[in-house]
Amino acid sequence: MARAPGRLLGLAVEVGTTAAVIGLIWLLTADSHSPFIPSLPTIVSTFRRVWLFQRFTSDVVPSVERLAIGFLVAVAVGVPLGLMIGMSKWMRMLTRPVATFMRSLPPPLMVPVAISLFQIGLVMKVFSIAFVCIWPIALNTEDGYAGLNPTVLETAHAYGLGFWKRLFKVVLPAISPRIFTGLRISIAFAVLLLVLAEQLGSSNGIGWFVLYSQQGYDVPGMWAGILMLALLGIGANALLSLAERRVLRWHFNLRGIDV
Amino acid sequence: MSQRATPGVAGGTSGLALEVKALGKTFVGRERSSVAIGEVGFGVADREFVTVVGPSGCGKTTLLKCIAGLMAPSMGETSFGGVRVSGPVSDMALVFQDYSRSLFPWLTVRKNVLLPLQGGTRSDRDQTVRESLEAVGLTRFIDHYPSQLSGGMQQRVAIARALAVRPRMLLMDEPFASVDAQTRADLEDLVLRIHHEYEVTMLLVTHDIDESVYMSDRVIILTTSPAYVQEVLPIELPRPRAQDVTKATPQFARLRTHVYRAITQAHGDTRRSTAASEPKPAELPTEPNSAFLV
Repeated sequence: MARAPGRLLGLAVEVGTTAAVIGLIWLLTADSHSPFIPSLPTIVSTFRRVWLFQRFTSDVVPSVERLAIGFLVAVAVGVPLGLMIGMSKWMRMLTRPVATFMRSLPPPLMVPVAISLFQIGLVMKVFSIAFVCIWPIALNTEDGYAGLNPTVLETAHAYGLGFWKRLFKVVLPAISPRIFTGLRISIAFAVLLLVLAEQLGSSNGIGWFVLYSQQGYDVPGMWAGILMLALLGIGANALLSLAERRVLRWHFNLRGIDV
Repeated sequence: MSQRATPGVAGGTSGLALEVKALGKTFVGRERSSVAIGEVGFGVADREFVTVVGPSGCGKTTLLKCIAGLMAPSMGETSFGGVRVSGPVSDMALVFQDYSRSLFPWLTVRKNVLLPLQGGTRSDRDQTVRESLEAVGLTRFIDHYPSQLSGGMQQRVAIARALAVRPRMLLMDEPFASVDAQTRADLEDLVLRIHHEYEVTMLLVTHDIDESVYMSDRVIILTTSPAYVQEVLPIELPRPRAQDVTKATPQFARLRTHVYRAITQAHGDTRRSTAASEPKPAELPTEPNSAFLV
């Protein structure tokens, strides 16, 4: 109870700052005559016209789909890859040079490669997203495994737990905080790669729409697209936080946050 | 290291639950190797309570890990029920010192105890979990997470988990080292009761001299690192034992003094008699391998 006023104050500051920034933009752009900086109400009404619901199914849905599949493929490959590298010295020696090379490639580089490999389509976008997102996930998983307290593994060993039980009941939960660190880094990359892939090789999607609007001198449309992308990023992060809070409830309890 | 008592296997040849035969462990490093256990041998009879006592850093935990099959010895071997130990044995359950790592914080008390159980129906396993928690008096906390329990309670859950696999032998590595004195006494009595009621063979490793005398039928005193058996001391205190009664007897005082002297002697008489009964690591002669041993 003693903390409640503090928390309320924090919330008030957050809401207040946000409102102030929006208000400032509103005021500064209210009587803007520049075609490149439309007023806030213009952007909002464009946003409503474009996304509710004229272009929702044609552009938002494909973008969300690409983002989700790309990210999930990265998780499905990254976590097992990280575990294998972490568990086996041989795997580590075999993969380290390749992994280091792949990781140091600038992320946008892979989009043209993906286009030439897979032609324009879903696979190329999923590949572009997944290829970049795999590394933060795999490396954090590997690091998490390396940092496991030996007693944790010894306990599993001493009690004769089989491979799968050890993996799913002990190892994965134990390193899940680290895996989530990797996921949070990756989700930001995923949105970045989605936009790039859509701008370089797509005829729909939010990223494509931003570029298309800009090239067609539809500046309010461009801004509406940027706003939509921001919302997509926020939504993806929120979903991830929600999953994290569910999966890592024990972890937060351990750190003294209320049950 | 002035004394290297030949490891004699105590007890008869029959009825030995555990036999440690000339076990040694050397950690081989790139720069240098370090000998953790010189040569240790002893036997534990069926249902006997044996405690291994020695100064901190003498290689007790390493010894226990070798016995439990978690670590391969460099020489010698352990046999359990006449069979050579080459990996963890389902009839032996291990209680670790560090319960905060050994109990999994992402599982409730119930699921922690349930984890190693296999075979039987779901309700059989649930029943086993319940009974084991009853034995340590924690049924009320079955759906709590370890982080919601005190240290002593967490160690009781760890003991319940060990009991749940219905072992013939319990191995305990300094199980009471990280709890307060009162809790420690309670846990000691709990373990004595379990030893009696479950008819399990016990091997306890500790650096606490009073504890070694209070709990055991026999105390095995190790030298400083690298470990050798310095002495095997039978404890003929009557059972059941009680903290207030047993520890007040002259016999107890005599035995604890004996163990204390044996351990200080193992240090080469470098310490004065006013020193605490528990040697602090800083007072140990520094050896290159001491960092390896806990």
